Amino acid sequence: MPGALSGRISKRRFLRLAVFGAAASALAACSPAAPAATTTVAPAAPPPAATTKPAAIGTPAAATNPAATRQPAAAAAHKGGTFTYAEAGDFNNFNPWNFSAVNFEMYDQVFSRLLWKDGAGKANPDLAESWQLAPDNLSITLKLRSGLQWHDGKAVTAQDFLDCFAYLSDSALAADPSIMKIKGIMGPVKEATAPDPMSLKLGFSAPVPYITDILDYWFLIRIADKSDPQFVNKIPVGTGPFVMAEWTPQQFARFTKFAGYWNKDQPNLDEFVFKRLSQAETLLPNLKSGALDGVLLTSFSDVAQLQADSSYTLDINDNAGSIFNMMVNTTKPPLDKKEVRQALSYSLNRVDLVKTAFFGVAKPITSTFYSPASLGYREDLVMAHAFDLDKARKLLDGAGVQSLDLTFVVTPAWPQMKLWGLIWQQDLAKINVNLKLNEVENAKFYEIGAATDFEGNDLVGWLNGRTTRDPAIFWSTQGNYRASQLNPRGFVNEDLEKLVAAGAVETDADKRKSIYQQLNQLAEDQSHIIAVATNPRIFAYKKAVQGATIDLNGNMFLNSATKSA
Amino acid sequence: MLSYLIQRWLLLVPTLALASILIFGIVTLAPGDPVRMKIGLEATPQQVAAERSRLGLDQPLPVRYAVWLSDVVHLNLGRSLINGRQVTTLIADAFPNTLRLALTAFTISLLIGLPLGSLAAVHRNGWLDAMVTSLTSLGLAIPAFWLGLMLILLFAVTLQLLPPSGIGNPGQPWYLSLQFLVLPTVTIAVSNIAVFSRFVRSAMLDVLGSDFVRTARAKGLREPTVLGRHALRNALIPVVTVLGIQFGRLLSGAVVTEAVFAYPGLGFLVVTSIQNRDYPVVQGALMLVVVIFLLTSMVVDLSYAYLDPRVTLRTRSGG
Repeated sequence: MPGALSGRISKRRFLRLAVFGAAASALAACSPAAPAATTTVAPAAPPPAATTKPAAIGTPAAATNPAATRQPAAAAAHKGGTFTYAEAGDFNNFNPWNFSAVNFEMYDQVFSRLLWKDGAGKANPDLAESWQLAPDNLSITLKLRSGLQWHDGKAVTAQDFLDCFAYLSDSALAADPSIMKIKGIMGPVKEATAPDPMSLKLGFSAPVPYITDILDYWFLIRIADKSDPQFVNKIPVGTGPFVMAEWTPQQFARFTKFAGYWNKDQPNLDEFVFKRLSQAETLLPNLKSGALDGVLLTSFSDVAQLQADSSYTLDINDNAGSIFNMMVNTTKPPLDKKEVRQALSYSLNRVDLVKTAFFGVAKPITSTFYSPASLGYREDLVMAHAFDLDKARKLLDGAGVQSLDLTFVVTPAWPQMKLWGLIWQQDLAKINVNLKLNEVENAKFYEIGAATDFEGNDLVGWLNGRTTRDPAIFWSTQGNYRASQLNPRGFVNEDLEKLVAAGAVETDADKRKSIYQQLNQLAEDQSHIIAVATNPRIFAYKKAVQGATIDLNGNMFLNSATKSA
Repeated sequence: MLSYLIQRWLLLVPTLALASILIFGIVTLAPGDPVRMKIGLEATPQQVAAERSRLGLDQPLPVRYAVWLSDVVHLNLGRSLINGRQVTTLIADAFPNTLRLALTAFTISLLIGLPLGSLAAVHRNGWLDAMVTSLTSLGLAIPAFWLGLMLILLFAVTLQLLPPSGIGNPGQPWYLSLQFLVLPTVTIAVSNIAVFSRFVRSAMLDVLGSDFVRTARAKGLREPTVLGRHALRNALIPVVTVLGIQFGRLLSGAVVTEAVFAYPGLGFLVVTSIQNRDYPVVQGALMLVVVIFLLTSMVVDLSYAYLDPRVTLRTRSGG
């Protein structure tokens, strides 16, 4: 039998091999999880001697009382403890300039800024103890605190900020997404100088009345390895209240209290553990099992049951500035007509949508600048396009549109969009508009949203942020609202562009307010992007956790957080 | 045997080459832009283009395939597009977790499924058979994600006996990490027990009606000997194929279970990477899955020779 199994293994040998193999596999399998993926940093060095005495730089302009910084510490704040928190997804980098949503909640813990804006929009000193705008509004001088340290014990000086500013023009970093993003925001800052080691002066070519909003994004970072500006190969060194101690991908990152933090009373917690779960559905069971102290809720349907349970505290932040809206394909007739777009806006029963698709958690809005915190806020605009099918039909008639077939792109990543689409379908049918939902997977959804003509679709459910920021920040970063590279559909409104340009350099507070209110009205009137509802950031904490707050980005702030036993 | 093994190993080459083309093609042509997923919605077209160029995604597809294949041959699977980490590192971190879970779940499924199927066959049409058939139908029907969530709600939320997710901390003693295995193992084992016992029952029923079993009984052999040494062993031949496929599937990562329990294994890695359009990670992990399946199938083939002496493993040229 040529070619047949010549050296047939004996049964006994087979069994022996099988048993040995199984035992070896079992041993390997039962060994503890390999810590190879965990990166660690050495503990921070002891604090160095006080740095150079700061030079006087004039009268502080804003809230300059260091004692009042961040959240006031409770009189008898409980010290110590580990706060274990989780979100769905995984870290994809640790550079705070990246503004990547999955990393938001670590930024304020590891990094600091010259100043920061709290949830109400108030500018608070952080690494800078005071700042002064020049009378000509063409520069700002900031005075650093004394004794500031990096997590590795090195002193923080104005030179560190100059280095930071130099990253923006460093050709070795030019292609990095984090650098590109911060460069866009820092665009109005043309130069940075250090009059002395503890003072920093930033110069502009035109007045930048919203400079504090810009600085709120400018975290102090140190890129030691220019091949790793995302800090994924080596854990970042920051100046915030917690030192990043370890990261195990797809599992968790651990942050320990920074002994050299400038505010000796903070943080109250000893440790912050940020766990990553893959499925948002498992966040709540984990919280209820006691494995977690806090979570970011993404499912509005969970809110009611947590509100009814006295074991938990819910922090619903409507002021985080994120909104649900719809981008309209203005290149496609008849959507190029303002009246048709307005008709769509009037046909949306937002009040009912919020009750059903958003479980009553969000707020219905027809104005992008819905928050009184925004300079562009106007109360009469918040629901100016209230549900009115008759008006919608009349607008369509006025535009010569008898019937209309529309496609609306939604993603399962935001199930609210599909729900509102389904409900909206019924109302639209009453005015002879046939809405077809096109549900696509998340990656495809982003591709369609960025495509020139939405790949032939008419409407795309979308989210925009920074609506509670200074409007200059909003209008310079939310490019889909105006004629920009981020709006390849070619929507252009010259009045809007003129107002945006004027608002960015106007120094008179009243005039700025007027400009941005006009912009608010103009955007709503054009309805090229139709606001639907707010997208609150909702944190759920166990009752034992107190004092966790948010910044103006809606990101968690743990400086004054405590956890009782 | 040796020539058979050599032939099987040589066959791996064209199979892997074909698999590499399919994997690369399907993954790369899937709708969705990895750069947009990475740098977000506020990035300008210039920023997107710069990042695409930096990642080499602006190259023609054949060029990208050639570069990728050349790297794979040199065991360099590249870096994650999302977090920049080496793909080999990501897989090396995930695979031991999957192996641990797969071995545990597989062993338990085997230890329960085999006797259960045998018992059902021996007591054909009796109450035991009816019970096993009903339970296994239920086991097959229950979706893993639902069962996983129910187990979390019962044992982690309500009773607070077991951890709901993860694998614990890297530095903890091995016995503490065992508790993290319980719920995912049960979730996987339920469907596997159902599959194994059904196949064993069916195979046993075929064998129990065979002449050699009747002969063994006629010779006066004790029933346990007839069942264990003659019937079960012969029934295992078709079952081994299923066992091999199931084991290969488990080693490729129990996707749903790993996701529900935030268990950082290979399936979890593949799913999150697909969601992020992280091409190098998906391609590298899928290549590993193909290798696992090919090796498992080879081991299954070899096991036939042991289980049934009539089976010989021939090379193709040997006829």
